Parts: sequence; structure tokens; C-alpha cells
Amino acid sequence: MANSGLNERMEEMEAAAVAQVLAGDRDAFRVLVDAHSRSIFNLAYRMTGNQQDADEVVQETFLRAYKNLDRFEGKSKFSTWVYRIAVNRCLDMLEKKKINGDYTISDDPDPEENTVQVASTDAGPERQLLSRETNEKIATAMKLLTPTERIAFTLRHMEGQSIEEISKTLKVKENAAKNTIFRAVKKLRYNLEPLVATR
Amino acid sequence: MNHLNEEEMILKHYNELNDAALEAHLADCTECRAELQRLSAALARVPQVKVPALPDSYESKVWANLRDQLPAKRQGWFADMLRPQKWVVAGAMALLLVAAFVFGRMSKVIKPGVNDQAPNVISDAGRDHIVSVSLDHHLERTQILLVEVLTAESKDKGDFADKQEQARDLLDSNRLYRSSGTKTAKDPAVQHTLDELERVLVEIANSPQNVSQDDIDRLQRSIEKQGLLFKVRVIDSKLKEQNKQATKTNGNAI
Ligand SMILES: [Zn+2]
Repeated sequence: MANSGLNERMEEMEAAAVAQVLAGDRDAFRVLVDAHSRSIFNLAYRMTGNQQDADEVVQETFLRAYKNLDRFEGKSKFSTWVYRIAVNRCLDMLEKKKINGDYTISDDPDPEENTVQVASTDAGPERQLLSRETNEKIATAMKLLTPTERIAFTLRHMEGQSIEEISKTLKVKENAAKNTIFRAVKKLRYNLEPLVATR
Repeated sequence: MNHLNEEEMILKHYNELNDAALEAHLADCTECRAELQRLSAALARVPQVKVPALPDSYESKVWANLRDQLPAKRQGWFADMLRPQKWVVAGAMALLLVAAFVFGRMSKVIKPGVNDQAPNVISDAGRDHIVSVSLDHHLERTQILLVEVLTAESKDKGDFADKQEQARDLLDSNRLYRSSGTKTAKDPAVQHTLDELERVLVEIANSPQNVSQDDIDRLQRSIEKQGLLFKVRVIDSKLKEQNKQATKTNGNAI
């Protein structure tokens, strides 16, 4: 497939860039920044819920990746490796700032404030009834999650990662990852269920 | 027969149940299916977070903030081992990029994003943009080389061998960009600068192995005479500006 051919090429280029950086060419790191900063920002935004923190996660992720590059053994793809660093930076950020207390969801996004914009792609008539009040209930439910629960849930629910992948990313046993997701879903459900029941 | 518990329901919702007996039960049990629907409906209430659109210059901004914070890497045995190949690798990367995109061997590309699985066709504008971006990198590297030659002295003989190697490598990509036939590459100012650049790169690449101070002086004069460094900088900053505009209108094409 042409696509997998190109992917292989990109991996080769990334491996070459890693080798160059390790050989002392700091500027070669730019290849890796160019290739991944956008998707890491997206991930971090979904986790932290605001632009400023997402920007910080992106910077810290690449700084850490650069400093630890000699520990990247090339067993996994660079993207997988750097993505894991990013998830762990998000986790630290959430733990540090206890940001889950500030998590709000808004239809009227303002990046300067801690608001999260709700996707409108599936905006059927029913969906549009999802009023500000409902969004607040969801935000309240999200607040109940611990940072780890929120990260694990986001990876499963929004990023579509398997539980196995999540356990590797968070460096926990698969059962632990499973239980974290169970706790997150139960907490959310407990808070969201009445919405469904009143329909 | 036992109904599925809540945790099994959650696994089922995310397609991770992996249990034939439970699946079979679910197929037969309306109660369990209703319960699963209630769970799915509740989870459907958790919205996808829409990420704000980033400016096209986002990557450059990240890099600008990052670059000065990066400590220089210690150059150990690994560096020594790689040193002779360093610029060859850089050149190979540039060539791969251009060959892959310019000559259309790849018509489709998958974005490196996490969930982006939809292949997108690269338009001419998209291809031009990719060439422009890699040409920008090429010109940045060329500027570094030109500055190094302008400040070189004959006593750094070993270093000059490195520069010759860089020049040979840049020469290959320089030719490739000049003949790539994309809109940007056909711009007369770009063509003209790439031409002059090629002459100087040839001169550097072909300078004698035991370079004398005279040789270096001659190289420095020909770079200065053509005002080459200045021209390259002007073209490069025009390119950067153009790349910004191009991603604004064609960002989705690539
Ligand atoms: Zn049942």
C-alpha cells in the first residue's frame, strides 16, 4: 500500500533525525517537532481542557524527549514514545494543578479561559438540546475523576486507544488500567444517567 | 444464566469484551441488551472535546520557544561513529521528501495524528507547499554552511573537509529543488538564487583536499561578490511568509 510505504519513509526519516540529534545536531530535532507538535497539542488539549496548559505540555514533552533521546531505543516508533511522554506530562500537569477542579465545557470557547469546546459535528436536533445546563452536568461529572481516571478515560473514550495500549502508556498492569476505566465510567454514568432517564 | 455485570458491559461498549460465552448470552438476553443500550446512551453524553484550530505557524513557534532551551548533546562514541555520515543522512532525508512528494510517487498520505486514518490526496498546491517547507529547511542549512565558510580559516583543515561534504550533500538537494518544477521552485528569483548557490556549492565541494588560505579567501570572495548570503536570506524569509499563507488556504489538502 502506498500509505504504508510513506509511513515507513516517515519512520526512516524520524530515525535518521534521532541519529542526527544524538550525533550532536540539535537542529535535526526540528524534524520531530514539526512532525508531532500538532497532534500532541490536540491530545494535551483534550486532557487538560485549556490552551495554555496544552502549550506547556507540548514544550515540556519535547524538552524531555530531547533530554532522554539516548534512552529511546528505537524499539517502538518515535511517535509512540513521544506520545507516552506527552500523556505522562499531562498527568503530572493535572496532578500538580489539580486542574480537574476547573474543567468546564462551553459552547462559546474562549481559549484564554479554562473552557472546553464541545464538538458540533454530530449536532442533530436532539444533540442541540444538549443545553448549557447539560454541559455543566457533564463538566461536573468530569470533575469527579482523578487525574489518572481522566487520562485513562480520555485515551479510551476520545482517543480510541485499547486498554492494552493505555496500560503501556501509563506503565501500569492491564488490570489496573481496566479498573481505572471502570471507575471513571461508573462515576460519569452515575452523574449522567438521570439525563437519559428523563428523556 | 448470569447477566453481564457492569464492568463486562463497559468492556462490551468499547469492544473489548473478548468472551464468547458472554457474547452468546448478550445475543439472547434482551435485558442485557437494554442495559447495554442505557450504558452506551450515557457515555454518548460525554462529548468529544473540540480542539481549537492552531495557527499554521504553530510548529515554528514551538520550535522557536524550544530551541534555545535544548542543551547541546554531548558528542560521545556514538557521534564519532556517525560523524562522516551525518550530512549524508540529512541529504537522504531531503531527497526522500522531495522524491516522494514532488515526483508524485506517493499520491496519498496519512497524517501522523493519532486518530487520523483517512487518507488525503495531495493536491498540486499541497505538493508545492511541502516542497516550499523543505526548501526552507534546505536554505537554512545552506545559510549555516555559507556563514561557516565565510568565517573559516585554513588552520581548521579537518573542519573544512566536513564543509566540503556538506556542500556536496546540499548540492544534490539544490539541483533537485531547482528542477522540481513546482510553482515555488519556478519563481525566477528562487531559480536565480538556486543557480548562484549551485555555483558556489560546486566551488566549495571541489576545493582542494588540503585547502589553503588562498583557496578559502577565493571562496569567501565569490560568496561575498554575489551577495549570496543576503539573497538566500531574502528568499528564505519570503518562503516562510508564503508557506504561512499557503497553509492558510491549503492546510487541509496536506
Ligand atoms: Zn442477561
